[in-house]
Amino acid sequence: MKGLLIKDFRIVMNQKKFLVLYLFIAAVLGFSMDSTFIVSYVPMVATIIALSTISYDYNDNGLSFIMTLPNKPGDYAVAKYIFSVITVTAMWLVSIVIQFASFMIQKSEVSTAEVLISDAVMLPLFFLILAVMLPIELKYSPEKARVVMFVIFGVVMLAVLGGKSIIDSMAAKGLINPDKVTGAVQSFSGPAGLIAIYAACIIALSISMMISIRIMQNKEF
Amino acid sequence: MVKLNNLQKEYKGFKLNVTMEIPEGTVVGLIGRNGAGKTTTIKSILGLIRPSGGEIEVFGKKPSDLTSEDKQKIGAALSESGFCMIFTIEDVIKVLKGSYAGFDENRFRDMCTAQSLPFDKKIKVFSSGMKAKLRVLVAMSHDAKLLVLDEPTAGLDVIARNDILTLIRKYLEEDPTRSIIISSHISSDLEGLCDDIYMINDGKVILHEDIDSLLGNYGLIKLSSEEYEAIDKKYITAKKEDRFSVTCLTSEKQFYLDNYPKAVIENAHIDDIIVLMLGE
Repeated sequence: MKGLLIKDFRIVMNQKKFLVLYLFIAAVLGFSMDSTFIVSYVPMVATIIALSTISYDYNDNGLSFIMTLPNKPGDYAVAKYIFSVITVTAMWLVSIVIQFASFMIQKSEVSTAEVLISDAVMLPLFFLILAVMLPIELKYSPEKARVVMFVIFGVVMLAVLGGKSIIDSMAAKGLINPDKVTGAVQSFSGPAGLIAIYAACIIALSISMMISIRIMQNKEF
Repeated sequence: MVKLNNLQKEYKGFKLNVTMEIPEGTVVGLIGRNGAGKTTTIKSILGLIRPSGGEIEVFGKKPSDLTSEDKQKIGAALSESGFCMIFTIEDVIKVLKGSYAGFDENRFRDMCTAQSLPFDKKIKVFSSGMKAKLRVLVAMSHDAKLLVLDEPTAGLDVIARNDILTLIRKYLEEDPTRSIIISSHISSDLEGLCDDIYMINDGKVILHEDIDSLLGNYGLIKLSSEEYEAIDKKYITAKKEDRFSVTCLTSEKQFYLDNYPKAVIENAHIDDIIVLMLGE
């Protein structure tokens, strides 16, 4: 397992030019634009970087050799989750540091608690993306996974639009009160809501990891 | 150390059925044409694919039951599969150090230096020979009891091939209890290295001999068409005819030397056996 984590870390460290550019853009965005954007941008790119290590493993048929290292097939899946969560969390923390540095330099008057809560909501979103994407990437090759990803996002978009039109038509018929729905959602954004979101994401990641372990155990290399 | 009993694996248009054994301290060679089933056999031993039937035992366990500690005792070099191409040998060292308790960094560095492998260049810029050497050195880096080498010399020039075969010989000399299974379609590579040879064709073992009896007992008999008609064909295993002559393969060279003293009888090499048995 340790070897697999070192492997992924070395893959990322070997993309130095990309990493320098990535951090440069993060710093520019953080200091010149809306500094809240950086807290979504930096972890998003970190998510893509973490997922890209699977493509590197697949390249040149490398996965066969990786599976001869002294690990169980499920260990490969577990290592990917550990590496991805660490990478995304670390870069999320970096983005918050840049964000607050930007506030200090620009002498912005912000409510630290409010900013931290809105930052805290971002992290589980990326955990959720990992929970969806990791099993897909492991089940299919990264190329096929991209197609599956587009299909899933398409279905999600349709579901969201469909849900919205249903709510709108129900509100038009007076079956529900839109203000009450908005109020219910807003009441969910306090500390209790945050804990619930984190708990839900940890459960989603755990279920996703169990699926990924099973995928790797059933896979041939 | 490794036992395959009626190992079966089915793909569309291909069926593997192999029985073989790799005892402790032996080098077993797997020869056959491309697509004969060598890599499938090797991947089954490594647990990379699941057999459709039969049994495999590695260190007395099914490959799927091997623990990380068991896998520490296996060194694998697969054809055209290795570490990420953006890695340098320094990266490889870090991963091996984190993976194998028995990894000997100083020895690995010495061996890479001896093979003129650069530590700071990415693997993608290595020549085919350098990549192949690195794959074999990685397999040998952690004192493995069982080396599984799939086509380690494929596509290499004669000097690179000899370098790799020398590395394997040295590895065996260091500890006579080590075992190796090595596949190749270049049979001359295996002649001076293996104790046992298995020839696979269309997923089946068509020949299994120890190398001494293979080289000692097998022979080529060169005959005219008339001589061929007259000769006792009891021990003729295969033949190849051309316009005026017939070349026969026998597994009882001495029988024909004793009974047909005028016949042209030569020692058979593995290449000759492949050509006659597989009709290449």
